[in-house]
Amino acid sequence: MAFLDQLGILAVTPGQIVMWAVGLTLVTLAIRKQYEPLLLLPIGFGVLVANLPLTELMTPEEGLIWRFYHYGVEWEVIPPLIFLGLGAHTDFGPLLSQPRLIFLGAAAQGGVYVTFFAAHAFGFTLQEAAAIGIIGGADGPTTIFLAAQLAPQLLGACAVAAYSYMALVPIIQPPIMRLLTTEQERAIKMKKARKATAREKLVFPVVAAMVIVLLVPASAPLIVMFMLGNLFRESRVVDRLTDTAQNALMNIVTIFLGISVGATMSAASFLRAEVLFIFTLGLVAFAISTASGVLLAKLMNIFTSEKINPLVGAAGVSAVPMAARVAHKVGAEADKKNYLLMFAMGPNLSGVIGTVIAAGIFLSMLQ
Amino acid sequence: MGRRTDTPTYNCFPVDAAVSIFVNGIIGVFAGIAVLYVTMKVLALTAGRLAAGSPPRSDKN
Repeated sequence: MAFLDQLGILAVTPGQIVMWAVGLTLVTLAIRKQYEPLLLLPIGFGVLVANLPLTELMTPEEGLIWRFYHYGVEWEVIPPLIFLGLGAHTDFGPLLSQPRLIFLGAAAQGGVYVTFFAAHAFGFTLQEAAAIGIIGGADGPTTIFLAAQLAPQLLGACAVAAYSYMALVPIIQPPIMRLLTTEQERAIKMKKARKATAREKLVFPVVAAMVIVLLVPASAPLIVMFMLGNLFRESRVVDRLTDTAQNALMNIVTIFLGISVGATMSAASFLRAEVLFIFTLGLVAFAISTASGVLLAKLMNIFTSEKINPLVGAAGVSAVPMAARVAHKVGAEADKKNYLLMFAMGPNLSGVIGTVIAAGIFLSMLQ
Repeated sequence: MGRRTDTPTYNCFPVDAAVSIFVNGIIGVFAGIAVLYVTMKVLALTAGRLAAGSPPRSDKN
């Protein structure tokens, strides 16, 4: 009975049914709660279809989604293209006008390294620990980029953890921010900065790409594309390219990235105790990153006369622009007239750069 | 002749390796960011100054 042998329904395993529930939960969260819908929707669907038996969608050399994954993610094509689009969306003005805030983005990488160390102490290999730690950077494409190279077996779990926590920034960060600051500190009004000139914005992506790649060559694929996208934007002579990078290209690669990452989450690879552990460690990484950004801002206030509202330090985790909005919102609770959004965008952008540098350092030491 | 091995050196002393990556990582990130800070300061001193008599530029984006 060859036909019966080909019936998928007879080959379903209990683990696959559980994964259907996981996939449908992600799809539901994306649609009903709008938690990072651009990514979680295709990821959830990818989880669902990859766990339908006998489809061979992820069969090496044959499966359709395997090809997306292999040529898009394993070949390191899609995450840099996402960074091209992010660069084309980014205005470095808030950072250029307040350069000192860039250090808050570095501090927020504290969670990455503390969690890396903790994960390794709990028995993960160095490569796996790096992939888990980078979740604390709250940068989805960087997490995928690093995990695909160092620990592909953890890619799905790390990516879902990263995007889930990015979506949950408004829930995770405020309690930590309130715990580490006083009402008086949250009400600090920062001095309005000068406005960055168009020339500064134009030169910055070129110089920054050179500087970062000269220091951490392994970060080149992400940082080069990020700064190229930004150069498109700031040059103002390639509007078509800017528009394509911001919209059409970004949307296309997001589809392939989402479904590819989701499809890596087979029952065999995902339904393991260590995945739950990865989610826990990822949350710890995120919390420590938030705290270290806030604490560095407080430390800087000891040495500087122009006070920094410590809440903007929490925006040093990437999660652009959600983390900056959260900093603004928590600040507004202390003083409704305190407008922190533009100040928080500086650390927010430096957090992206900091996470890319951290990923580059992991790659150069572990690959 | 020495034996060639594909085993990464770090697997020999994993705790030392983790400490090394931890320390190097944090120093590396701060060093990279510090260099960018200096770069931005230099940019502010050079490209950040408007030419005398030129009107302030406003952003289109």
